[in-house]
Amino acid sequence: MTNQERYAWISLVSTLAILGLYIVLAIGLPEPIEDHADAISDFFVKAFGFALLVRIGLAVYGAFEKRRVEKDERDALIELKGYRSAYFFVITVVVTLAGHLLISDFVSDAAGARVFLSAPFVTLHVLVITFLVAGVFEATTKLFLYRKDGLS
Amino acid sequence: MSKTPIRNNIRTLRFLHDEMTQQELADKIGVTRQTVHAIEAAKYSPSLEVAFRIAAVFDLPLEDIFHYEPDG
Repeated sequence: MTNQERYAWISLVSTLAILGLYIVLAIGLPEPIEDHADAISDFFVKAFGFALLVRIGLAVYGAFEKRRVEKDERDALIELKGYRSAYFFVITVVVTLAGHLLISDFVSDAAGARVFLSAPFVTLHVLVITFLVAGVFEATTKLFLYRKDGLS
Repeated sequence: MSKTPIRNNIRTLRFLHDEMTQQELADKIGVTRQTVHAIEAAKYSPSLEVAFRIAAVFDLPLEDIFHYEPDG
């Protein structure tokens, strides 16, 4: 496993931890598990801290072991494919949201009053979650391409 | 990354050059061992620059190392 693949795993874990924490704190949990919100958010904080520590450890290790190549053209290609899949996801959500806003505007004109099909802050949550999920898309695409070659 | 139409005999050449390891070749051409493995398995086509570096390591022209097999 190359350092770049390890970084992709760390990126996946840390992004999932931030996403989970955001959902728990900003949106809330469904009623059956609502009582465990503190324990769940504590787990996500620990997961993020663990990923951060491993990332720092790898960076320190990499600084001392400079003999080997850290990143090459294949890593750059895989990174680009990861960014591409994240971009496609973000653009799909943004276009859908733009369409939703246009429809809201059209409905408002037809009704003769300001009508929102959803509360504006929901749009903000959707955008924040979209960017976090895009990070998950990017990391999983990279890991899929690294793992597909079947060599660790 | 599916198989590319560009095949090579790097594995054989490594064997003929004092059983050079993938890591040794990777260090010589400035890529990771995983990239050498992917090139050998025809799962990744290297850039021209890396292809020339491989040719320089084995002291052979490019066409003696890489072959284009569109239907293979």
